[in-house]
Amino acid sequence: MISGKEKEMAKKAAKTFSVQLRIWRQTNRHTQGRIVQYQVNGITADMTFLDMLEKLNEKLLKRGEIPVVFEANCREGSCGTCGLIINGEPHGPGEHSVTCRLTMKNFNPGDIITVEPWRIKSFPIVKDLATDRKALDRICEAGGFISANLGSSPEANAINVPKEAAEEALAAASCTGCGACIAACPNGSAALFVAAKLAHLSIMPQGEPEKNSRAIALVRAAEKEGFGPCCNNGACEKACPRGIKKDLIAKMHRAYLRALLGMK
Amino acid sequence: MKKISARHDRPQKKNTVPLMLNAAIPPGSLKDKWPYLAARLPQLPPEKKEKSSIIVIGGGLAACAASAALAEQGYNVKMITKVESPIHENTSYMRGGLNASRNYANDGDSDERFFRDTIEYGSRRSREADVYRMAQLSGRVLDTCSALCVPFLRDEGGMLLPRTYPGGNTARSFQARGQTGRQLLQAFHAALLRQKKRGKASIISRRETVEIAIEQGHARGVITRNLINGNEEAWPADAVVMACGGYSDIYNSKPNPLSGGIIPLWAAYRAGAGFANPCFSLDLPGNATKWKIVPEDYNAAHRCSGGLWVDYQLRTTITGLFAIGEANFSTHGANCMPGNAPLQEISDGLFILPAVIGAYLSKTKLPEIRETDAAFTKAMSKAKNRKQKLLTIHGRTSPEEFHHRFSAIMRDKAGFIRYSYRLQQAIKEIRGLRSEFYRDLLLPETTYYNITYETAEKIAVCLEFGELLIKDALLRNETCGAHFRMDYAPDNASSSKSEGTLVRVWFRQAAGEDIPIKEMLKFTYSKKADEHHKKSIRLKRNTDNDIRQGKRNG
Repeated sequence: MISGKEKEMAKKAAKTFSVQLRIWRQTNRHTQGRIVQYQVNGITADMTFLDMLEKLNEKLLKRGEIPVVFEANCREGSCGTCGLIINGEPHGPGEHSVTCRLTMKNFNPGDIITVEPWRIKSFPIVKDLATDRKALDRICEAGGFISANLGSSPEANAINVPKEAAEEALAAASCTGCGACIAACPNGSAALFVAAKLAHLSIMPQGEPEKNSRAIALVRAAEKEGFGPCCNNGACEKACPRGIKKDLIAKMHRAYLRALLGMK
Repeated sequence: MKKISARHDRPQKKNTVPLMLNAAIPPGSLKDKWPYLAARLPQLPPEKKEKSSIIVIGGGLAACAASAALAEQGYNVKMITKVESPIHENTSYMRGGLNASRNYANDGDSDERFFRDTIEYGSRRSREADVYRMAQLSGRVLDTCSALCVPFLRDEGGMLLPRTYPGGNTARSFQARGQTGRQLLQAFHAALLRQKKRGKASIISRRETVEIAIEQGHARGVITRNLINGNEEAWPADAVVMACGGYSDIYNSKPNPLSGGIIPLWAAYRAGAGFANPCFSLDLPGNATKWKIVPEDYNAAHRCSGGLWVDYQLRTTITGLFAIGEANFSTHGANCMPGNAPLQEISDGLFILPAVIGAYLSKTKLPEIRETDAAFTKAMSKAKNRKQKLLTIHGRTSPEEFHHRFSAIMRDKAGFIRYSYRLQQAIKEIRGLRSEFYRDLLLPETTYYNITYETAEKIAVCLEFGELLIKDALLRNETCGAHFRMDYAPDNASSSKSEGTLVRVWFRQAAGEDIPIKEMLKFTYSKKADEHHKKSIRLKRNTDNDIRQGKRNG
């Protein structure tokens, strides 16, 4: 077995290499999709995965074929637009990874890489690798907000928030809505997403009054959208680019139960 | 009340260049202007608000804040965005902070100090009245964000902990650990979802706004292209708000990806809206008035310092078309102070826009409008023709290649460091590239979710906008913001002929010609106002002395 350093050196020596891509192609949500294999040449190790896909698209365009649709925006892992299942792992190899920050040094010359969109019933495929994730917005619409009128709030420092609570809320609120947790879950459960949303709003005193109604609304909305139940295997936590902790799911269940029982 | 602007009572003839720009700044001292106007702006009765419809173009912080505020007041709001959900919009990777002059750090901050810092930071390229209003509203913006559960940094005692931005002297930047943009966006997106649940707002996603429909001189809606099925659609309304952000993608640099709002901005420009200061601002490490940095360090721009020209009431030169946030030019000047960008976006959307849009609708009698009216059919055929033109070239060069070549020209010849001869070369090269683009563009044979066409559409606009940007740079014999003219470098500033501080506003004639008009800026809080330009490069700050000596009359 060759060490990582040797591998790097070998790659540098080769300068450019090629990989085989097995990509999910689907014309629209109503048609049957299939895996199509393409070869991409001239890859360098410092290229990002999305750069590589763009290279493929240039090649397809020149050949008179239709380029592969994939979505991306900021290319620095903040916006939550991109999301591919690469070799069966959401956002590619490694924990807390993001598709747009994945570089080709994670792959070896001649590798066969399988690229699929999020495989979730509630995220219908728009085309090729792009999915429709509006279900997440619909969950938030059910109650993922503070019912406060805009512009007429008390002075900011009149609401005292303990430092720990603010930090905890921020950790939960860092969710980018990419959907990797759901794609990673064998049940296709949106538990981590909902739990993060609930934690953010319920930890802060501003969200306290609606705590119960929100827990019920969000949990039920997720169910209605067709997301499965939590199986507690922790795949979501590993897939989350922001490293949101799965402990929040337990807190969500607790908040939901307390709300059902009408406890304060 | 003084007559604010006669211009907006009568619709203008299309594509005529106004002889003079009236910023419509209310009377009174700086701090009284906004309260004076806000108390006197005519209001629309609630039952009329229920019947009025407003289109907001964009999906970022400004658009979410404006849509939520308008819907809360009873308007029917349609937010048209090109992303799938606003949570993925560009605001989400704004890191900095949110400025508010609350003096929580007890370091002597006040609205006035904040105002003066912003004016100086922007090298005096923004209107005093606009900046003062932003400073005045900053406290209420912070309150609203806090009430909406934005998890700002806190002290052990649970109080807000403002930070000092690099080079600043006062702690007024409220942050959420490098994700301030995401947190603010989420808060206002949630506020918008609340209004959506009430049935007052709807989010029309995955649409690119390609034309503004103008009926009898009034902006009455937009034409969008559905990014998924590629079809043009008409959206009639009573007023249109541009909240589409800036034009940051022309350098193809990393923090400014190919997803700015340049297509809607250009649609407004084509329709007759004035475009002010097409240039960029810098994010300077340290005090912006000091050129501590080596110019070569900066090849890319930080933020758009220009945008659609608006008056004090956020009205563009097209009646019924408003511009807020980064889409308009106001407030920041040549450099955007860190933390002011989100503040302007929220204060425009939350407080100023609802007030001025109500005044506009109460003063204007608008006839019924339908999607089948001439304004829409005409705009729609324009959009379709443009699309067809690109789709039928059948050339051999991909849009991505054109993009790289275009941004290479912009970076080399019209980046941060500029020489007039290189700028002139760049114009020639861009014109050459443009004719090649329309001769040799390669697009795939598909209509359903054609991402390659999206790029091509953007490059087509960039090739025109790039030229406007260079034309503007050629007229600026100065060094300011992300515009470092080597022939007018700070060292030989004494020999430079300064034009004084002005806003240069471009208008497009029907024949396709770009005409510049000047709006001169007046500075009342400093006696030596006319020398401000030289001062801004010569690093002098006389304003403190002025105040001490009682010379200030603002």
